[in-house]
Amino acid sequence: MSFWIVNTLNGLSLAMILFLLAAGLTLIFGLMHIINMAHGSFYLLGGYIAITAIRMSGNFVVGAIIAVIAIAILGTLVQRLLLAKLYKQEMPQALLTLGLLFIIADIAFFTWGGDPQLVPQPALFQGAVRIFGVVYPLYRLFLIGWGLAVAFLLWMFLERTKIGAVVRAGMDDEEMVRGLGINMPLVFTGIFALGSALAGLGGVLGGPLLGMFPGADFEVVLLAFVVVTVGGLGSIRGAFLGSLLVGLVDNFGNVWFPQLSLFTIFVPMVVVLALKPTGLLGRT
Amino acid sequence: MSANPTLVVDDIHTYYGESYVLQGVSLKVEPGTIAAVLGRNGVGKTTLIRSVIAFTPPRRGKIVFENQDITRWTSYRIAQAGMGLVPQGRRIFISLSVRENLEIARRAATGGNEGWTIDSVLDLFPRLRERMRNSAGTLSGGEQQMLAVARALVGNGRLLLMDEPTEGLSPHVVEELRQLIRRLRDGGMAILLVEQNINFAIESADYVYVMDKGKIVFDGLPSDLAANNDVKETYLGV
Repeated sequence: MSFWIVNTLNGLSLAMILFLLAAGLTLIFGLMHIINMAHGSFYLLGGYIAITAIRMSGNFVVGAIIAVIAIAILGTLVQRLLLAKLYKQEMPQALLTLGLLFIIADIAFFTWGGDPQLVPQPALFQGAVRIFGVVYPLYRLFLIGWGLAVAFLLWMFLERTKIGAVVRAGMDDEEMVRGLGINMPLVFTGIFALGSALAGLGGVLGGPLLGMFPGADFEVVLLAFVVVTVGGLGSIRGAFLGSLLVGLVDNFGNVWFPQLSLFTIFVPMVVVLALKPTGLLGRT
Repeated sequence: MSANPTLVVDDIHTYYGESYVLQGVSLKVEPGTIAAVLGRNGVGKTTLIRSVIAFTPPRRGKIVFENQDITRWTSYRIAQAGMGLVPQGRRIFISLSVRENLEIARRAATGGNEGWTIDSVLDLFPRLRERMRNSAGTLSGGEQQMLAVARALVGNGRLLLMDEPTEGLSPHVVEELRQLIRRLRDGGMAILLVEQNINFAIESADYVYVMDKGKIVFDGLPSDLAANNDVKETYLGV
Protein backbone atom coordinates (compact mmCIF):
# COMPACT_ATOMS: atom_id res chain seq x y z
CA MET A 1 0.00 0.00 0.00
CA SER A 2 2.73 2.46 0.92
CA PHE A 3 4.32 1.74 -2.49
CA TRP A 4 1.18 3.07 -4.19
CA ILE A 5 0.87 6.11 -1.95
CA VAL A 6 4.49 7.15 -2.28
CA ASN A 7 4.61 6.67 -6.03
CA THR A 8 1.28 8.37 -6.61
CA LEU A 9 2.49 11.38 -4.63
CA ASN A 10 5.78 11.32 -6.53
CA GLY A 11 3.86 11.22 -9.80
CA LEU A 12 1.65 14.09 -8.68
CA SER A 13 4.58 16.28 -7.70
CA LEU A 14 6.19 15.68 -11.08
CA ALA A 15 2.81 16.38 -12.69
CA MET A 16 2.69 19.81 -11.02
CA ILE A 17 6.10 20.76 -12.39
CA LEU A 18 4.93 19.64 -15.81
CA PHE A 19 1.73 21.60 -15.45
CA LEU A 20 3.63 24.83 -14.77
CA LEU A 21 5.40 24.31 -18.08
CA ALA A 22 2.49 22.96 -20.08
CA ALA A 23 0.08 25.72 -19.03
CA GLY A 24 2.20 28.41 -20.65
CA LEU A 25 3.02 26.28 -23.65
CA THR A 26 -0.62 25.54 -24.38
CA LEU A 27 -1.74 29.16 -23.89
CA ILE A 28 0.99 30.44 -26.19
CA PHE A 29 0.24 27.85 -28.81
CA GLY A 30 -3.51 28.24 -28.54
CA LEU A 31 -3.39 31.99 -28.97
CA MET A 32 -0.35 32.64 -31.15
CA HIS A 33 0.26 29.24 -32.80
CA ILE A 34 3.88 29.35 -31.71
CA ILE A 35 5.62 26.05 -31.04
CA ASN A 36 7.85 27.53 -28.38
CA MET A 37 10.94 25.34 -27.97
CA ALA A 38 12.56 28.08 -25.87
CA HIS A 39 10.00 27.29 -23.18
CA GLY A 40 12.50 24.74 -21.88
CA SER A 41 15.15 27.46 -21.77
CA PHE A 42 12.91 29.61 -19.59
CA TYR A 43 12.56 26.66 -17.22
CA LEU A 44 16.33 26.12 -17.13
CA LEU A 45 17.18 29.79 -16.69
CA GLY A 46 14.50 30.13 -14.01
CA GLY A 47 16.17 27.35 -12.04
CA TYR A 48 19.72 28.65 -12.54
CA ILE A 49 18.85 32.26 -11.72
CA ALA A 50 17.05 31.02 -8.60
CA ILE A 51 20.17 29.08 -7.54
CA THR A 52 22.32 32.19 -7.84
CA ALA A 53 19.76 34.56 -6.37
CA ILE A 54 19.03 32.29 -3.39
CA ARG A 55 22.74 31.90 -2.74
CA MET A 56 23.23 35.66 -2.79
CA SER A 57 20.13 36.64 -0.83
CA GLY A 58 20.07 33.63 1.46
CA ASN A 59 16.29 33.51 1.05
CA PHE A 60 14.29 31.12 -1.10
CA VAL A 61 11.29 33.41 -1.60
CA VAL A 62 13.43 36.39 -2.61
CA GLY A 63 15.41 34.23 -5.03
CA ALA A 64 12.25 32.72 -6.49
CA ILE A 65 10.66 36.12 -7.07
CA ILE A 66 13.82 37.47 -8.72
CA ALA A 67 14.01 34.43 -11.01
CA VAL A 68 10.36 34.57 -12.03
CA ILE A 69 10.47 38.32 -12.73
CA ALA A 70 13.70 37.93 -14.72
CA ILE A 71 12.11 35.23 -16.89
CA ALA A 72 8.95 37.29 -17.39
CA ILE A 73 11.10 40.17 -18.64
CA LEU A 74 13.11 37.85 -20.87
CA GLY A 75 9.88 36.40 -22.30
CA THR A 76 8.56 39.90 -22.98
CA LEU A 77 11.74 40.82 -24.84
CA VAL A 78 11.75 37.61 -26.89
CA GLN A 79 8.14 38.13 -27.90
CA ARG A 80 8.37 41.87 -28.60
CA LEU A 81 11.74 42.02 -30.30
CA LEU A 82 11.74 38.71 -32.16
CA LEU A 83 8.49 36.75 -32.41
CA ALA A 84 6.17 39.72 -33.01
CA LYS A 85 8.18 40.49 -36.15
CA LEU A 86 7.23 37.06 -37.52
CA TYR A 87 3.50 37.40 -36.87
CA LYS A 88 1.57 34.44 -38.33
CA GLN A 89 4.73 32.87 -39.81
CA GLU A 90 4.58 29.65 -37.87
CA MET A 91 7.59 27.81 -39.24
CA PRO A 92 10.05 30.71 -38.89
CA GLN A 93 8.75 31.27 -35.35
CA ALA A 94 9.30 27.64 -34.39
CA LEU A 95 12.82 27.69 -35.87
CA LEU A 96 13.59 30.93 -34.07
CA THR A 97 12.62 29.43 -30.71
CA LEU A 98 14.67 26.31 -31.48
CA GLY A 99 17.66 28.57 -32.17
CA LEU A 100 17.04 30.36 -28.88
CA LEU A 101 17.01 27.00 -27.09
CA PHE A 102 20.53 26.27 -28.35
CA ILE A 103 21.88 29.77 -27.70
CA ILE A 104 20.49 29.93 -24.17
CA ALA A 105 21.77 26.40 -23.47
CA ASP A 106 25.30 27.54 -24.38
CA ILE A 107 25.02 30.72 -22.34
CA ALA A 108 23.78 28.71 -19.36
CA PHE A 109 26.59 26.19 -19.73
CA PHE A 110 29.13 29.00 -19.92
CA THR A 111 27.64 30.74 -16.87
CA TRP A 112 26.69 27.88 -14.54
CA GLY A 113 28.92 25.08 -15.77
CA GLY A 114 28.16 21.48 -16.62
CA ASP A 115 27.62 19.93 -13.19
CA PRO A 116 24.06 19.31 -12.09
CA GLN A 117 22.95 21.75 -9.41
CA LEU A 118 19.95 21.63 -7.13
CA VAL A 119 17.92 24.71 -6.28
CA PRO A 120 18.15 24.92 -2.46
CA GLN A 121 14.93 23.87 -0.78
CA PRO A 122 13.09 26.52 1.23
CA ALA A 123 13.94 26.02 4.90
CA LEU A 124 10.28 25.98 5.86
CA PHE A 125 9.56 22.88 3.78
CA GLN A 126 12.59 20.77 4.60
CA GLY A 127 12.07 17.45 6.26
CA ALA A 128 9.25 14.96 6.06
CA VAL A 129 5.78 14.42 7.47
CA ARG A 130 3.55 11.41 8.04
CA ILE A 131 0.70 11.28 5.55
CA PHE A 132 -1.63 8.35 4.72
CA GLY A 133 0.60 6.18 6.89
CA VAL A 134 3.85 6.93 5.06
CA VAL A 135 6.68 9.32 5.81
CA TYR A 136 6.84 11.73 2.87
CA PRO A 137 9.00 14.76 1.99
CA LEU A 138 7.24 17.96 2.94
CA TYR A 139 8.62 19.83 -0.07
CA ARG A 140 6.91 17.52 -2.54
CA LEU A 141 3.59 18.07 -0.78
CA PHE A 142 4.17 21.80 -0.94
CA LEU A 143 4.83 21.44 -4.66
CA ILE A 144 1.54 19.61 -5.19
CA GLY A 145 -0.30 22.33 -3.26
CA TRP A 146 1.35 25.07 -5.33
CA GLY A 147 0.53 23.35 -8.58
CA LEU A 148 -3.11 23.03 -7.61
CA ALA A 149 -3.22 26.68 -6.54
CA VAL A 150 -1.67 27.89 -9.79
CA ALA A 151 -4.05 25.72 -11.80
CA PHE A 152 -7.01 27.18 -9.93
CA LEU A 153 -5.81 30.77 -10.36
CA LEU A 154 -5.18 30.27 -14.07
CA TRP A 155 -8.60 28.76 -14.50
CA MET A 156 -10.19 31.70 -12.69
CA PHE A 157 -8.23 34.13 -14.83
CA LEU A 158 -9.28 32.51 -18.08
CA GLU A 159 -12.90 31.75 -17.25
CA ARG A 160 -13.87 34.58 -14.94
CA THR A 161 -12.09 37.74 -16.12
CA LYS A 162 -12.59 39.92 -19.14
CA ILE A 163 -8.99 39.51 -20.24
CA GLY A 164 -9.43 35.76 -19.94
CA ALA A 165 -12.46 35.99 -22.21
CA VAL A 166 -10.38 38.01 -24.69
CA VAL A 167 -7.73 35.28 -24.65
CA ARG A 168 -10.31 32.56 -25.29
CA ALA A 169 -11.89 34.65 -28.04
CA GLY A 170 -8.42 35.09 -29.54
CA MET A 171 -8.04 31.31 -29.66
CA ASP A 172 -11.33 31.15 -31.59
CA ASP A 173 -10.68 33.95 -34.06
CA GLU A 174 -7.82 36.31 -33.35
CA GLU A 175 -8.40 38.57 -36.35
CA MET A 176 -12.00 39.18 -35.33
CA VAL A 177 -10.88 40.20 -31.84
CA ARG A 178 -8.68 42.86 -33.44
CA GLY A 179 -11.70 43.94 -35.43
CA LEU A 180 -13.48 44.70 -32.15
CA GLY A 181 -10.82 47.23 -31.22
CA ILE A 182 -8.88 45.07 -28.78
CA ASN A 183 -5.12 45.57 -28.68
CA MET A 184 -4.13 42.00 -29.49
CA PRO A 185 -0.40 42.69 -29.87
CA LEU A 186 -0.43 43.74 -26.22
CA VAL A 187 -2.44 40.65 -25.22
CA PHE A 188 0.07 38.48 -27.10
CA THR A 189 2.97 40.01 -25.19
CA GLY A 190 1.16 39.65 -21.88
CA ILE A 191 0.29 36.00 -22.43
CA PHE A 192 3.78 35.19 -23.64
CA ALA A 193 5.26 36.86 -20.56
CA LEU A 194 2.82 34.99 -18.31
CA GLY A 195 3.65 31.66 -19.95
CA SER A 196 7.38 32.35 -19.67
CA ALA A 197 7.06 33.31 -16.02
CA LEU A 198 5.21 30.05 -15.32
CA ALA A 199 8.00 28.09 -17.02
CA GLY A 200 10.52 30.01 -14.91
CA LEU A 201 8.48 29.17 -11.81
CA GLY A 202 8.53 25.55 -12.93
CA GLY A 203 12.33 25.71 -12.93
CA VAL A 204 12.42 27.34 -9.49
CA LEU A 205 10.02 24.90 -7.85
CA GLY A 206 11.11 21.82 -9.80
CA GLY A 207 14.79 22.65 -9.27
CA PRO A 208 15.07 21.19 -5.75
CA LEU A 209 13.81 17.83 -7.09
CA LEU A 210 15.04 17.55 -10.65
CA GLY A 211 18.07 19.80 -10.56
CA MET A 212 19.44 22.00 -13.32
CA PHE A 213 21.96 20.62 -15.78
CA PRO A 214 22.81 20.98 -19.48
CA GLY A 215 20.03 19.26 -21.40
CA ALA A 216 17.36 19.70 -18.72
CA ASP A 217 15.79 22.36 -20.94
CA PHE A 218 15.21 19.94 -23.79
CA GLU A 219 14.15 17.11 -21.48
CA VAL A 220 11.35 19.09 -19.84
CA VAL A 221 10.13 20.80 -22.99
CA LEU A 222 9.78 17.40 -24.61
CA LEU A 223 7.69 16.13 -21.69
CA ALA A 224 5.68 19.37 -21.68
CA PHE A 225 4.91 18.95 -25.38
CA VAL A 226 3.75 15.40 -24.68
CA VAL A 227 1.50 16.83 -21.96
CA VAL A 228 -0.13 19.47 -24.18
CA THR A 229 -0.47 17.04 -27.06
CA VAL A 230 -2.20 14.48 -24.86
CA GLY A 231 -4.33 17.10 -23.11
CA GLY A 232 -5.22 19.03 -26.25
CA LEU A 233 -3.45 22.16 -27.51
CA GLY A 234 -4.96 25.40 -26.31
CA SER A 235 -6.77 23.97 -23.31
CA ILE A 236 -5.74 24.69 -19.71
CA ARG A 237 -7.91 21.90 -18.38
CA GLY A 238 -6.31 19.65 -20.98
CA ALA A 239 -2.86 20.71 -19.81
CA PHE A 240 -3.85 19.85 -16.24
CA LEU A 241 -5.26 16.46 -17.15
CA GLY A 242 -2.31 15.73 -19.44
CA SER A 243 0.14 16.67 -16.67
CA LEU A 244 -1.51 14.26 -14.24
CA LEU A 245 -1.43 11.46 -16.81
CA VAL A 246 2.13 12.02 -17.95
CA GLY A 247 3.40 12.63 -14.40
CA LEU A 248 1.88 9.43 -13.09
CA VAL A 249 2.70 7.31 -16.14
CA ASP A 250 6.29 8.56 -16.16
CA ASN A 251 6.74 7.88 -12.48
CA PHE A 252 5.23 4.38 -12.45
CA GLY A 253 6.92 3.61 -15.76
CA ASN A 254 10.28 4.50 -14.25
CA VAL A 255 9.58 2.30 -11.26
CA TRP A 256 8.42 -0.75 -13.20
CA PHE A 257 10.30 -0.50 -16.48
CA PRO A 258 13.22 1.84 -15.78
CA GLN A 259 14.95 0.89 -19.03
CA LEU A 260 11.87 1.90 -21.08
CA SER A 261 11.30 5.39 -19.73
CA LEU A 262 10.67 7.17 -23.05
CA PHE A 263 8.62 4.27 -24.33
CA THR A 264 6.19 4.44 -21.41
CA ILE A 265 5.60 8.13 -22.09
CA PHE A 266 5.22 8.06 -25.83
CA VAL A 267 3.07 4.95 -26.14
CA PRO A 268 0.18 6.51 -24.17
CA MET A 269 0.58 9.65 -26.28
CA VAL A 270 0.32 7.71 -29.51
CA VAL A 271 -2.72 5.84 -28.20
CA VAL A 272 -4.47 9.07 -27.20
CA LEU A 273 -3.72 10.69 -30.55
CA ALA A 274 -4.88 7.64 -32.48
CA LEU A 275 -8.19 7.67 -30.63
CA LYS A 276 -8.61 11.43 -30.40
CA PRO A 277 -6.34 13.46 -32.71
CA THR A 278 -7.13 16.77 -30.98
CA GLY A 279 -6.02 15.42 -27.58
CA LEU A 280 -8.27 14.64 -24.64
CA LEU A 281 -9.77 18.12 -24.22
CA GLY A 282 -8.50 19.78 -27.36
CA ARG A 283 -10.18 22.59 -29.22
CA THR A 284 -11.52 21.45 -32.55
CA MET B 1 -20.23 66.79 -37.35
CA SER B 2 -18.95 68.35 -40.51
CA ALA B 3 -20.54 67.72 -43.86
CA ASN B 4 -17.58 65.55 -44.85
CA PRO B 5 -18.21 61.89 -45.63
CA THR B 6 -17.76 59.43 -42.76
CA LEU B 7 -15.74 57.11 -44.97
CA VAL B 8 -13.83 57.80 -48.17
CA VAL B 9 -12.23 54.92 -50.01
CA ASP B 10 -9.97 56.41 -52.64
CA ASP B 11 -8.63 54.22 -55.44
CA ILE B 12 -7.52 51.26 -53.34
CA HIS B 13 -5.69 48.25 -54.75
CA THR B 14 -5.69 45.11 -52.61
CA TYR B 15 -3.94 41.78 -53.14
CA TYR B 16 -4.09 38.33 -51.57
CA GLY B 17 -0.52 37.31 -52.11
CA GLU B 18 -0.11 37.50 -55.87
CA SER B 19 -3.83 37.62 -56.55
CA TYR B 20 -4.89 41.15 -57.56
CA VAL B 21 -8.38 41.50 -56.11
CA LEU B 22 -9.35 45.17 -55.74
CA GLN B 23 -8.20 47.03 -58.82
CA GLY B 24 -8.84 50.64 -57.93
CA VAL B 25 -12.02 50.93 -55.85
CA SER B 26 -13.39 54.30 -54.75
CA LEU B 27 -16.54 55.01 -52.78
CA LYS B 28 -17.99 57.19 -50.05
CA VAL B 29 -20.32 56.75 -47.11
CA GLU B 30 -22.01 59.93 -45.89
CA PRO B 31 -22.98 60.35 -42.23
CA GLY B 32 -26.40 58.94 -41.42
CA THR B 33 -26.71 57.06 -44.70
CA ILE B 34 -26.53 53.49 -45.90
CA ALA B 35 -24.26 52.76 -48.86
CA ALA B 36 -24.65 49.30 -50.36
CA VAL B 37 -22.12 47.46 -52.50
CA LEU B 38 -23.63 44.80 -54.73
CA GLY B 39 -22.01 42.20 -56.90
CA ARG B 40 -21.72 38.53 -57.63
CA ASN B 41 -19.72 36.10 -55.55
CA GLY B 42 -15.99 36.61 -55.78
CA VAL B 43 -15.91 40.12 -57.26
CA GLY B 44 -14.12 41.51 -54.20
CA LYS B 45 -16.90 42.69 -51.89
CA THR B 46 -15.56 40.96 -48.80
CA THR B 47 -12.05 42.09 -49.71
CA LEU B 48 -13.35 45.66 -49.72
CA ILE B 49 -14.59 45.26 -46.13
CA ARG B 50 -11.33 43.54 -45.15
CA SER B 51 -9.37 46.42 -46.66
CA VAL B 52 -11.31 49.07 -44.76
CA ILE B 53 -10.78 47.33 -41.37
CA ALA B 54 -7.15 46.53 -42.36
CA PHE B 55 -7.48 42.75 -42.10
CA THR B 56 -6.04 42.83 -45.61
CA PRO B 57 -4.62 46.33 -46.00
CA PRO B 58 -4.56 47.80 -49.50
CA ARG B 59 -1.15 48.09 -51.18
CA ARG B 60 -2.07 51.36 -52.85
CA GLY B 61 -4.73 54.00 -52.41
CA LYS B 62 -6.12 55.81 -49.41
CA ILE B 63 -8.83 55.27 -46.81
CA VAL B 64 -10.10 58.24 -44.82
CA PHE B 65 -12.37 57.85 -41.82
CA GLU B 66 -13.90 61.02 -40.36
CA ASN B 67 -11.16 63.15 -41.93
CA GLN B 68 -8.33 60.96 -40.62
CA ASP B 69 -6.16 59.00 -43.00
CA ILE B 70 -6.34 55.46 -41.59
CA THR B 71 -4.69 53.68 -44.51
CA ARG B 72 -1.68 52.49 -42.50
CA TRP B 73 -3.48 51.93 -39.20
CA THR B 74 -3.81 48.50 -37.60
CA SER B 75 -7.23 46.87 -37.30
CA TYR B 76 -7.70 47.41 -33.59
CA ARG B 77 -6.90 51.12 -33.83
CA ILE B 78 -9.36 51.54 -36.68
CA ALA B 79 -12.06 49.76 -34.69
CA GLN B 80 -11.27 51.89 -31.64
CA ALA B 81 -11.59 55.01 -33.75
CA GLY B 82 -15.27 54.17 -34.21
CA MET B 83 -15.86 51.39 -36.72
CA GLY B 84 -18.04 48.39 -36.03
CA LEU B 85 -17.90 45.15 -38.02
CA VAL B 86 -20.51 42.51 -38.76
CA PRO B 87 -18.31 40.13 -40.72
CA GLN B 88 -19.23 37.58 -43.31
CA GLY B 89 -20.00 34.27 -41.66
CA ARG B 90 -20.76 36.04 -38.33
CA ARG B 91 -17.51 34.96 -36.68
CA ILE B 92 -18.91 34.99 -33.17
CA PHE B 93 -16.67 33.48 -30.49
CA ILE B 94 -17.99 29.98 -29.89
CA SER B 95 -15.89 29.33 -26.77
CA LEU B 96 -17.48 32.30 -25.04
CA SER B 97 -20.91 32.71 -23.58
CA VAL B 98 -23.28 35.12 -25.29
CA ARG B 99 -22.66 37.59 -22.47
CA GLU B 100 -18.88 37.35 -22.84
CA ASN B 101 -19.17 37.94 -26.58
CA LEU B 102 -20.87 41.24 -25.80
CA GLU B 103 -18.69 42.17 -22.82
CA ILE B 104 -15.38 41.99 -24.66
CA ALA B 105 -16.81 44.05 -27.53
CA ARG B 106 -18.35 46.76 -25.36
CA ARG B 107 -16.83 50.18 -25.66
CA ALA B 108 -18.30 53.41 -24.32
CA ALA B 109 -19.71 55.86 -26.83
CA THR B 110 -17.86 59.08 -27.47
CA GLY B 111 -19.31 62.53 -26.91
CA GLY B 112 -20.97 61.98 -23.55
CA ASN B 113 -24.06 60.04 -24.62
CA GLU B 114 -24.44 56.56 -23.25
CA GLY B 115 -24.77 54.81 -26.60
CA TRP B 116 -25.55 51.11 -26.80
CA THR B 117 -25.19 49.13 -23.60
CA ILE B 118 -25.48 45.39 -23.23
CA ASP B 119 -28.89 45.95 -21.73
CA SER B 120 -30.15 48.14 -24.55
CA VAL B 121 -29.04 45.75 -27.30
CA LEU B 122 -30.80 42.96 -25.44
CA ASP B 123 -34.01 44.98 -25.65
CA LEU B 124 -33.43 44.94 -29.39
CA PHE B 125 -32.82 41.18 -29.46
CA PRO B 126 -34.89 39.67 -26.64
CA ARG B 127 -34.02 36.19 -27.84
CA LEU B 128 -30.40 36.77 -26.86
CA ARG B 129 -31.39 37.76 -23.35
CA GLU B 130 -32.71 34.27 -22.73
CA ARG B 131 -29.42 32.83 -23.98
CA MET B 132 -26.96 35.06 -22.16
CA ARG B 133 -25.31 32.27 -20.19
CA ASN B 134 -25.28 29.78 -23.05
CA SER B 135 -22.19 29.12 -25.09
CA ALA B 136 -22.44 31.17 -28.28
CA GLY B 137 -21.65 28.04 -30.26
CA THR B 138 -25.06 26.61 -29.34
CA LEU B 139 -27.03 29.47 -30.95
CA SER B 140 -29.03 28.96 -34.14
CA GLY B 141 -27.86 30.68 -37.32
CA GLY B 142 -30.36 33.53 -36.92
CA GLU B 143 -29.41 34.01 -33.28
CA GLN B 144 -25.73 34.06 -34.20
CA GLN B 145 -26.44 36.82 -36.70
CA MET B 146 -28.28 38.79 -34.02
CA LEU B 147 -25.29 38.33 -31.74
CA ALA B 148 -22.91 39.48 -34.48
CA VAL B 149 -24.99 42.65 -34.96
CA ALA B 150 -25.37 43.18 -31.20
CA ARG B 151 -21.62 42.73 -30.74
CA ALA B 152 -20.93 45.41 -33.35
CA LEU B 153 -23.47 47.78 -31.79
CA VAL B 154 -22.08 47.66 -28.22
CA GLY B 155 -18.76 48.86 -29.65
CA ASN B 156 -20.57 52.15 -30.31
CA GLY B 157 -18.89 52.98 -33.58
CA ARG B 158 -20.21 55.65 -35.91
CA LEU B 159 -19.67 53.55 -39.01
CA LEU B 160 -20.95 50.00 -39.30
CA LEU B 161 -19.43 47.61 -41.83
CA MET B 162 -21.86 44.80 -42.65
CA ASP B 163 -20.78 41.93 -44.86
CA GLU B 164 -23.73 39.91 -46.15
CA PRO B 165 -25.78 40.15 -42.97
CA THR B 166 -28.82 38.50 -44.62
CA GLU B 167 -26.93 35.32 -45.53
CA GLY B 168 -28.85 32.29 -44.35
CA LEU B 169 -31.62 34.24 -42.62
CA SER B 170 -35.33 33.58 -43.00
CA PRO B 171 -37.36 36.25 -44.87
CA HIS B 172 -38.96 37.28 -41.61
CA VAL B 173 -35.60 37.89 -39.91
CA VAL B 174 -34.30 39.68 -43.03
CA GLU B 175 -37.22 42.10 -42.78
CA GLU B 176 -36.47 42.73 -39.08
CA LEU B 177 -32.86 43.38 -39.97
CA ARG B 178 -33.89 45.84 -42.68
CA GLN B 179 -36.00 47.79 -40.23
CA LEU B 180 -33.19 47.74 -37.70
CA ILE B 181 -30.54 49.14 -40.01
CA ARG B 182 -32.93 51.86 -41.20
CA ARG B 183 -33.45 52.76 -37.57
CA LEU B 184 -29.71 52.83 -36.91
CA ARG B 185 -29.28 55.08 -39.93
CA ASP B 186 -32.02 57.40 -38.72
CA GLY B 187 -30.13 57.56 -35.43
CA GLY B 188 -27.15 59.00 -37.32
CA MET B 189 -25.09 55.86 -37.98
CA ALA B 190 -23.28 55.50 -41.30
CA ILE B 191 -23.46 51.98 -42.74
CA LEU B 192 -21.42 50.30 -45.46
CA LEU B 193 -23.42 47.26 -46.51
CA VAL B 194 -22.06 44.55 -48.75
CA GLU B 195 -24.75 42.29 -50.17
CA GLN B 196 -25.67 39.71 -52.77
CA ASN B 197 -29.32 40.13 -51.90
CA ILE B 198 -30.27 42.84 -54.41
CA ASN B 199 -33.75 43.52 -53.12
CA PHE B 200 -32.52 43.90 -49.58
CA ALA B 201 -29.87 46.40 -50.68
CA ILE B 202 -32.20 48.40 -52.93
CA GLU B 203 -34.84 48.59 -50.23
CA SER B 204 -32.46 49.59 -47.44
CA ALA B 205 -29.75 51.70 -49.00
CA ASP B 206 -29.55 55.39 -49.78
CA TYR B 207 -26.88 54.89 -52.39
CA VAL B 208 -25.68 51.79 -54.23
CA TYR B 209 -22.49 50.67 -55.90
CA VAL B 210 -22.12 47.65 -58.16
CA MET B 211 -18.81 45.82 -58.25
CA ASP B 212 -17.39 43.49 -60.86
CA LYS B 213 -13.91 41.96 -61.04
CA GLY B 214 -12.47 44.26 -58.41
CA LYS B 215 -13.84 47.50 -59.84
CA ILE B 216 -16.90 49.68 -59.28
CA VAL B 217 -18.92 49.46 -62.49
CA PHE B 218 -22.04 51.38 -61.45
CA ASP B 219 -23.04 53.82 -58.78
CA GLY B 220 -26.27 55.69 -58.22
CA LEU B 221 -29.49 55.89 -56.31
CA PRO B 222 -31.28 52.61 -55.56
CA SER B 223 -34.08 53.71 -57.90
CA ASP B 224 -31.54 54.20 -60.72
CA LEU B 225 -30.27 50.67 -60.25
CA ALA B 226 -33.80 49.28 -60.01
CA ALA B 227 -34.58 50.87 -63.38
CA ASN B 228 -31.32 49.86 -65.05
CA ASN B 229 -31.91 46.39 -66.46
CA ASP B 230 -28.60 46.45 -68.34
CA VAL B 231 -26.51 46.70 -65.19
CA LYS B 232 -28.69 44.23 -63.33
CA GLU B 233 -28.43 41.66 -66.08
CA THR B 234 -24.74 42.09 -66.84
CA TYR B 235 -23.36 42.33 -63.33
CA LEU B 236 -25.95 40.91 -60.96
CA GLY B 237 -27.47 38.17 -63.06
CA VAL B 238 -31.12 39.15 -62.80
